[in-house]
Amino acid sequence: MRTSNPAHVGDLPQTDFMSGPEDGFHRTFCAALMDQDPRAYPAGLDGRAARRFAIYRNNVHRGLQDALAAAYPVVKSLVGDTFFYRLAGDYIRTENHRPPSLALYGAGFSVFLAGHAVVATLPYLPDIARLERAWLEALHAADASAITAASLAGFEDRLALLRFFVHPAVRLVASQFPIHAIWQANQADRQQAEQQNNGPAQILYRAEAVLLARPYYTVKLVRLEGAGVEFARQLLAGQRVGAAYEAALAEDTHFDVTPVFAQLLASGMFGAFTLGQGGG
Amino acid sequence: MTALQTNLNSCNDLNHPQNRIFKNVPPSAGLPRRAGVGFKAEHASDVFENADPVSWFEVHPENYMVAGGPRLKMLSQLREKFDISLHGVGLSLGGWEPLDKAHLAALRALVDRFEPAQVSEHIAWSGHEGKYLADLLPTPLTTASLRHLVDAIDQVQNAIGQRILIENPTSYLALPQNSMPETDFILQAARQSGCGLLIDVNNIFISAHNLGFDGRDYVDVLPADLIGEIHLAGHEQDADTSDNVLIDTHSRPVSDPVWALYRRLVERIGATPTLIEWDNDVPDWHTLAREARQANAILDGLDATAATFSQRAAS
Repeated sequence: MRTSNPAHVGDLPQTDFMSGPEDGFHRTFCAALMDQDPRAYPAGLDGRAARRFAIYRNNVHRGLQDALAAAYPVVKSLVGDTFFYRLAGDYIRTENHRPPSLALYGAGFSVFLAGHAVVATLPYLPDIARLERAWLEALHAADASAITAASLAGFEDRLALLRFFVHPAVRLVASQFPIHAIWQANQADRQQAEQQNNGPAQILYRAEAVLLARPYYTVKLVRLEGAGVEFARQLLAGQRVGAAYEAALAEDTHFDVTPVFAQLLASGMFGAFTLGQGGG
Repeated sequence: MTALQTNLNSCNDLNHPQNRIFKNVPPSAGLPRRAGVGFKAEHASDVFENADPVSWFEVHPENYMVAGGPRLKMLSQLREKFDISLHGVGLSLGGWEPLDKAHLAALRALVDRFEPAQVSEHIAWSGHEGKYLADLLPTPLTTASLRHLVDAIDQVQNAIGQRILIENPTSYLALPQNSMPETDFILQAARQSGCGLLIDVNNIFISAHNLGFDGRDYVDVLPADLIGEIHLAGHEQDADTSDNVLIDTHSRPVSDPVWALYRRLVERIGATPTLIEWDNDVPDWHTLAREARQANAILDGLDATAATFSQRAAS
């Protein structure tokens, strides 16, 4: 980062003009806002105006950093506010995706984290970011009704033939780290409960996957592990229950499908079902 | 009868055909000429129980440009009970690029679904070449800029099928290429596009302080027939006290000189829908309602003989 005199970024046109140079104005202004040097300003501004350019810069940086902080509270809680805002400051310079809503800002944060030196000490951080992103997408996904166990009454003898249409809010995030346990341990209400009871919950070091569903207006998380992940993945891909079960068995011959299927059904992940014909 | 027909049938104060280039855009329904506030989810239970003295709410459409979920559900509940205004912060009307088609379509979808009494946007830009900047950045006050702005407003009005209001910016600095006064710029933008004005009195006060002009001169040249809504908000002194600059923080009660400037404006133009904006360090509902009550008291105290909107529209 440069720490010398405030930098002039590009050249600002000085007079009124017809068309082309206006594009130069916006580009120059934008480049100065995103410059590494916090004292950078667009050329053409005099001393006082150049100093006040920092107000726009602060607004822009703080606005985008706050949006990222709102979208990734667990990542923020894991690395602390100060470091998070440093990460966010670097991220906003790389982010070139314009979301329709600021609520969905930060789609590329997990990829950014995966390429950052922070993964040397917190290797699970990108996967936590993926989980938080999935949570946000599930929250704002299209509304639809979900089926329950009762919806399957009368089909008990043909469960293996059923094929499901997945609810639009459903996301599946798999990791080699215990992302569900880490996420749970960093929920504000969870932390409060722990302070009142017996200290932090123990986090087992194991691979976990999380299935997210939002049948009504609250996002639900289902922890999956082992062959249960493959079973869910097959159902998400539109496979019949029987074929999904076989794929899971191929991974683990002791796979117990009943509790996993009940859990998935109760999560509200299925919007509808059909009796599958042919194919997988 | 659709909301649009109601709009067309109602005697609308903003529909002055004079000097319009685009005459085919119907006016909006218009908000109650009372105090409204920006809607905050944390006030939801108070608002749904008893919103008195607030009779309408404003939201940023960008916060609702999502496919579904709890936000849209809450906005539906709000709309069932109140008039709402969609106040955009992301169309980048003052930018130099074509408007984002997806953003425009998302706005159109919200207008169709929620039938807002008013739609407004800023004279500002908030992104360039794919970079989203989440702020209201200054538009050069030039003839080229003006032409671009008028085209952009026209596109929005045609896309959503109704007249919009555009809001005067907050200024921290004067761009070197500015070639006309801001009042000329916004009045010409309104006259040429057929849109109305949303006058943010706090912005005028801040700009006047920061750039060194008299806010009363600005307020006094604004034509009554163009003003469809007023914004009031709090501001703060910059943390760097070596430069005496005010920041538009929306984090405080409306200041006394801003109330005075507001009174000066409405005494001349008549009762106008007035929004209290409080977006940071959001207070409890009681405190916000007190600000709204103060605006209503000023509107109630206006000389009954002052020009009303209907008189203006008829003249």
